[in-house]
Amino acid sequence: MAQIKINALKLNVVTDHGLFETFSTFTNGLNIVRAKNSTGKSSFTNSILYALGVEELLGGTNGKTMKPVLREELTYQGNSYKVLESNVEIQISNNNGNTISIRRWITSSTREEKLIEVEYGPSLTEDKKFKKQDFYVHLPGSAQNDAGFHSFLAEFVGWDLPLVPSFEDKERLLYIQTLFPLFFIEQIKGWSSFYAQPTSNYGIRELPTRAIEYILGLDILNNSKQKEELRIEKALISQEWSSLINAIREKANIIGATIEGLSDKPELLSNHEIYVYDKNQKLISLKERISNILYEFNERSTVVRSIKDVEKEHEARINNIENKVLALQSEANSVRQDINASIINQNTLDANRSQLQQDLKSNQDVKRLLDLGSDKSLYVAQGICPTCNQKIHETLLPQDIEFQPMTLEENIKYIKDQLATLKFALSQSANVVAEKNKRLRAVTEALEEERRRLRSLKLELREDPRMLSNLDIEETLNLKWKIKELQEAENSFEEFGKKLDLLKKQWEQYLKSTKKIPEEFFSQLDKTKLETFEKRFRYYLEQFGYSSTPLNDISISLDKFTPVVRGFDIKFDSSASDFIRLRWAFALSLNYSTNHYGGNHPRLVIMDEPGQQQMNINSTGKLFYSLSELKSQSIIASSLTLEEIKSITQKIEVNIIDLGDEYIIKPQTN
Amino acid sequence: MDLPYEHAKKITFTRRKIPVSPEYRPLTKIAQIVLILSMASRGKSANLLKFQLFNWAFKSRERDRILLLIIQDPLITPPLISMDPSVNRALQFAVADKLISFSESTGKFTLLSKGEEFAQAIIKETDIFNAEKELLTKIGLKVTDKVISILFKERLI
Repeated sequence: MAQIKINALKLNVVTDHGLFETFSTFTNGLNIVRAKNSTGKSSFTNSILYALGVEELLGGTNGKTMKPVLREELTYQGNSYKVLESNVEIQISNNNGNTISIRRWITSSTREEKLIEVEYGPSLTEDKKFKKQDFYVHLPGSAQNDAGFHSFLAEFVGWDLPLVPSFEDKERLLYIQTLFPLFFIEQIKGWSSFYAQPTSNYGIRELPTRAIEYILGLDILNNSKQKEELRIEKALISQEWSSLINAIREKANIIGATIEGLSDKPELLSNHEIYVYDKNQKLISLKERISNILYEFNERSTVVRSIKDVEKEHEARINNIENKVLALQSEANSVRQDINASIINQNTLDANRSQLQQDLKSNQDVKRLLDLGSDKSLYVAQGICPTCNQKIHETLLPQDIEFQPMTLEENIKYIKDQLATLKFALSQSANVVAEKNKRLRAVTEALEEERRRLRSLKLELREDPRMLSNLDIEETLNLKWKIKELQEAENSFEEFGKKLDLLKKQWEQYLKSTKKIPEEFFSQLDKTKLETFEKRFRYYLEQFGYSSTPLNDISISLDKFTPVVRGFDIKFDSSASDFIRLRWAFALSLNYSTNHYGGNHPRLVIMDEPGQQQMNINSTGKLFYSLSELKSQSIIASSLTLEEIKSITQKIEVNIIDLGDEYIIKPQTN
Repeated sequence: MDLPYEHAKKITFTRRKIPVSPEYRPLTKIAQIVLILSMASRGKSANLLKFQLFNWAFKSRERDRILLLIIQDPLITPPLISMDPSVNRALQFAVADKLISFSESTGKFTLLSKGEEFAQAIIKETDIFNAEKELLTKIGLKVTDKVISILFKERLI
């Protein structure tokens, strides 16, 4: 479980008149750090951020974010002292009871500001020395490298920071800095919004939402990650599928086969069948064709006949084949004519398409002109007559004729629609031509074969009748070749079929996984968390005396996780002091949710001067009471007087750290 | 086609909007006018016939060549140059929009500063009106008043 517990904080300033310092220890519950205004109270709380390397919340990086008293000149009791060197030391523990001390220099002639020294033990509260190691911050890799302080700190705290969508293609780490605004409210920016963004958004989309999601530990982060993985899997399967389909089609083309029922995209129920032309140019299934040829082959392969044996047969066949050749010729012609007609049709469509594309370009040009014209504030560009200020229709045809021209946008859409239709028609027509070409090939091949056969038959009749019939042997051999070719193709198709089945299984797996991801965006636990968050938020508001809007109208928005009033930004409906109350309630509810339903809140709340906007002292009292109830550590810097603080914390357990009315960094006393 | 009209209780007609060729959009012609004045006219002014001549030339890329021939010798093979009333309407709009001015005494249209700005803006865009810009650059100031008067006079006889 994530946790940051701050045990002690120490600021050291070496001046030309000796060492100045301030040191405080904190309890695990409510700590109130009291000091007069402008005596370094904010320097004290902000130094926590500095020590942890998250000073970007203060609007910058490195030593310059700290006040000049820690860098240049320290004033104490009216005297000024030159700062020679200064650093901040903080001792923190985590949930496992490990304690480390962190030391970072603000100004020094020898130590880099980007270096952070970590001592593996409670060196601030115990007078012992421990092993030391240097880490760095604000350099590339400080969030992910082993030597980067933030990757070390995240691990120490118990944060497993997620990758979240960025403005670029790849995902980015939800940097540690982005979480701090949700539990560390600093004085300058912290009180003005629910999430005071650090200096940059780190290229992360919807940064506040992602940070709140993580602090609440919502499952949706996980869900969206799974969805992303599935999206990639889908793309992979689809790609493999389509390359497999292409391979099958190519193979089919080689043997002049036609495939039916093969879908371009993965489909569980897809079942394809392969057809080829038989010797009568009819489409039959590949299997049937193979068995037909095999039958024919087996019938004739047993005997080799001489010409005398086949003479009669040959004569009958010659007549037959002559008729067949004629029929095939006329069929080839008609298929050719069909193809020609289709090609002409295709060319017309193509010409239409290029004309339309030109039209589209011209229309888009005019659209650009319209923008240019509007820049130059032309009346015509706005569809207004420059003379009479009446609306004109956007054409140069006589303005008084009765028709309604399309507006430019409508016209562009109209052309685009036409283009889409044409594109479809073109692809259909290409399919038709390809199919007809296959048919033509089958027909012409058959024609050539029959003619060849006719020649051979006639030739053989003139040969010596005792010789073996060449033709008979050739035909038998051809059949054998054909069988081999088709069987090979069939084997490949079977291989492809197996691969396709495998892909179908993967696809089925993918479909099952998509079903498993909750239909609803939020998991059951997410819902409970958000409901508790909302309930607790209202409860705190009631405690703190919020009165700007009825509490029942307030809810937590489910897309941004910030409070809204009837769906609108609550900021507009709240008075200045009530907005501070909202901010208190928001910070406390986030913590409460983690305490009760788990989450990644470090169970630490730090507020610099919660008594903003002339806050009612009783409300502040309620805040202190609620914080002490929260079972988390809180460190509150306040400029109320000691009597005021005591009067509102009478009945609660509290550690009051009074830094006095003088400047808080004081000369070292031995 | 046989339609079962006898079964229809009511027939409604809806007027559909009609697509318009981009060259009949006012801004196209206006853009052409300011480009002609800015890129191919002496003193940034020209008369009506010059606009009609270019409007005819812009309609197809093949006419680029014919126009170049005409410049060399306005008397040869005079083509049939169509007069397009939409050019006149575009000129009226352009005058009213203060892109150009019309002088009654000379009968010429002159480019005003707003029109020049518009023309420059179009010239700056490298991917629109490229055909027009190319032709106008080729022609430059060579379509003089003299060329026009010869060309159209010969046509009238």
